[in-house]
Amino acid sequence: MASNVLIVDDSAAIRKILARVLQQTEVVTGSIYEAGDGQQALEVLRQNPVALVLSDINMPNMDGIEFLREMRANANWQNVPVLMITTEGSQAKVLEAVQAGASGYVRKPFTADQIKEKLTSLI
Amino acid sequence: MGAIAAEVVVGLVRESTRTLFETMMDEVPEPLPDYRTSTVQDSHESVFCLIGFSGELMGSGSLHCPGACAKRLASALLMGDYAEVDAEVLDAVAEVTNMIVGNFKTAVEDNYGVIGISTPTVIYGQQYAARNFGASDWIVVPFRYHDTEFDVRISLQPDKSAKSRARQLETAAS
Repeated sequence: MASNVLIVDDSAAIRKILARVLQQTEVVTGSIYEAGDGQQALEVLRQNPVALVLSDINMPNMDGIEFLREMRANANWQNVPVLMITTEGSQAKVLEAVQAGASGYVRKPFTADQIKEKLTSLI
Repeated sequence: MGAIAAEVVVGLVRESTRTLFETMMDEVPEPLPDYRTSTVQDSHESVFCLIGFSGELMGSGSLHCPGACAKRLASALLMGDYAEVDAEVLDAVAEVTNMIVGNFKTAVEDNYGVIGISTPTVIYGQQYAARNFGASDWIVVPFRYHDTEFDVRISLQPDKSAKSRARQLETAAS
């Protein structure tokens, strides 16, 4: 079970949908933080303990892959599960995310059940 | 690498749109006959969301709809009621466009190689015109959605300058 969760997506609509899905699960026992890109997400991580991250890939300023590399390079966040949720579906992009340290991968569009199933396997 | 046949584009857009609506909105819009144009000209309240393609194939993918349709799309995606086209509605339309165009792009990549896409740009207003510059028209794939309509527009052509750069690199390497 995770306490605080961070959702990283440049779309406020997707952040809202994912927050609603998380609230339907027992995964979140603390706060749900939101960030619009990788840079904002790193700021959130520096200031708050987070036990699970859901991240998009295509974002302005710092994309999801670069954000993931920054996370994995920091000892404090190396073992935090990161679920990538993105429209990017090419094998090359999935492989890049896995090599950067992604714990799981869900393609948009997604159902609430798909997200819940992935979270259950990660936590 | 040649251009993609229009009927392939239309088929992929319809498939990508159907998948999104079935998966996240529990409904399916009705496909209408496709057509070609190089302009968007609107004198009524409408939303136009545009995403750029780059790589060996370049162009754009977009979604154009009346304000009433934008509010319905946002309501279906976010499960709320929207009386006006506000920032949340525009964001929802951008994400609908992103998922349709993004999944179209992924399907094209299977046969045509990696294509980059930009983040969405959204235009909302009552009187504006947009034009697709270049050699090709938009392939317009319309849908009836409740009592409104929206259309998805694709323009995707081989990037001749990319080919030329590749040839220069090959020459330099040999």
